[in-house]
Amino acid sequence: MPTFHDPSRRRFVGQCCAAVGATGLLSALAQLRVLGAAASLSGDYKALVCLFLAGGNDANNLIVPSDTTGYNAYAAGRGALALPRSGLLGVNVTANDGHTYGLHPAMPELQALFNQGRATVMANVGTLCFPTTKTQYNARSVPLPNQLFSHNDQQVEWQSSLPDRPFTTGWGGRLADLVNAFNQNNAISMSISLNGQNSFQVGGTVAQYSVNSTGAVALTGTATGTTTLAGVRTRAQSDLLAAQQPGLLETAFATETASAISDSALVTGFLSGNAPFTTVFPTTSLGNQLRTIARLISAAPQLGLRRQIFFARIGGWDLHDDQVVAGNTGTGAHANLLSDVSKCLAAFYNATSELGQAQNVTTFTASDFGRTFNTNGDGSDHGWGSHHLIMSGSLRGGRIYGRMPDWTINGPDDTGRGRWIPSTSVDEYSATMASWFGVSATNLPVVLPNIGRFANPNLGFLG
Amino acid sequence: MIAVAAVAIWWIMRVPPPQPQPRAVPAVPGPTASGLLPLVGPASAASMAAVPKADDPGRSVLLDDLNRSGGTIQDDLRLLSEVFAAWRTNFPRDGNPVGENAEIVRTLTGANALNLALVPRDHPAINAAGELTDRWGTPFRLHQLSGTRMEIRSAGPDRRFGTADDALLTP
Repeated sequence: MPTFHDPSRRRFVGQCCAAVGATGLLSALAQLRVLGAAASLSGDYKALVCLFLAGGNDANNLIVPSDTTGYNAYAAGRGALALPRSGLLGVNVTANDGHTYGLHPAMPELQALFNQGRATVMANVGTLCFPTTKTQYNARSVPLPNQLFSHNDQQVEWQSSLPDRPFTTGWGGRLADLVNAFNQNNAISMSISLNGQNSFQVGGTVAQYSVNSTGAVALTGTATGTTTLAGVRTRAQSDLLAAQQPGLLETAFATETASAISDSALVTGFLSGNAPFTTVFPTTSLGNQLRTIARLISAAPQLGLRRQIFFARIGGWDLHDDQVVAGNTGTGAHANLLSDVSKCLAAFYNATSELGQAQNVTTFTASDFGRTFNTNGDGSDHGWGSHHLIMSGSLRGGRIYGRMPDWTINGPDDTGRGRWIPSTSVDEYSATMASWFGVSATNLPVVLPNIGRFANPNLGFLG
Repeated sequence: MIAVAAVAIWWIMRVPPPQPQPRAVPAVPGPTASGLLPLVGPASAASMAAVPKADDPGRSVLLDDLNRSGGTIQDDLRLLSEVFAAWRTNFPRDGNPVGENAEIVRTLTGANALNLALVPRDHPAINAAGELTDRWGTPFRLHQLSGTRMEIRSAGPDRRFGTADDALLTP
């Protein structure tokens, strides 16, 4: 009777066949999962736009309770950072805490979108390993996100939605890996960054493609002519990249470089003509980024893309000092940033409306963390949970989602100085958008492995 | 059958997963992965018993020269930075301690898994609120850039942050 290690030829061939068959079967199962995701996708096109507010936005002043009781609690905790009640921009949204709310006075464009039901706020979202209460936080009886209050770590954890693991991939990258099967013969990656490499779009198979606000990032010193030195050099480089390479590494390098060069030429071609919309964007960094995204959305059919994920980013939110102008708290550095966001988001929404894609595009904000509710004098420090903006033609607007914190310093939601314990996890916030993007409930854990720990895999803010 | 065979082969041939290493001295509730320590009181009887006296050879001398007369604020910032480097050497998996100044001081003064006091609890630069202060009496701003990079800022002689006389160390 042959043993497992019987070296007979018949046995050897049989084992090889089994191994090959198993490999093929497992590969087929993986493909079936992806195809299942693709099959569940409906509609022709959807885009997800992550706007990262780097440094930690003080959303305590983005949306403010405007009724007497709520405002008094807010003002008592905020101290020198409190906005005047009279300047708040009222919005027609309901909240489950019975309070009425107003936006920062620098955001009239977003006020209009709120009142049209096209923008709203997800209250008190943050990185969590498990649902956490103040008692559990104080006792450290549940795992807490790694390096709370640390910029880089929290940026990465927001973008990976895996705060209890070393970084490997971002949730946007995992989402792209899953739904990329829906893009047939796409000419460029479905993951495009307008602000360099980021953690959010790091995936297993879909690579992020970086462009800048004026177009694709191209190699310098290249030319198409054949008589100039640059032209000859470009041709030589192209020939070298096309040549057969001796090893896997060289082959991969040549393939990726050649692909990047051809993608660059393709994207530059699409972005070089007139924009297919008349909306004028602010000429700020964010305005330029969102304008380019709108143009890439318009080019999606020609690029063979039915799903796109974009990443935009603006910095400057880490306002430990000079956050507001003393005596005129509706102005200052924070107001300037919020004004830019308001103007740019409104322009982006209008542009996608012109393109007939507003209902197919969802834009959301993310940030390192919220900020302390009380002030350090003329600024705020690193916090935890924060409120975030969602804007989409598919939004179920007219209400604030999630639960606002109790604004009492050292109250039930506070870990000290108004660092709110999140009442909604990044996982739940992200899963809602992943579901809208077409991911089935079965496949949600592929994108958000920790989602099973939380109560609401779909918060219902997108229709 | 093929799939079952493949799984069986994989199970037999797989490399055992690495086992988590035990902490060096799990004498007290350890820090979570966050680097935050359980909120033990700074003056509990048990913990106070471990506080080294001024003449104790086990007393940390890392910050003995902090705010020393004749020294400079840049000297002070370097000393503090060295304390965080020492912390990371002792807690390489945890990263820098995080939180407000007082929370970080509580960790550095012994509220950690090793009961390691890199800063003596009775250090004269620690104010009544438990914060490490600069040579002008203002608490340092300990700005957590990442698990391994702690930016340290002093408000300077005018005792106001964000002015020209601030002193800053960015690692």
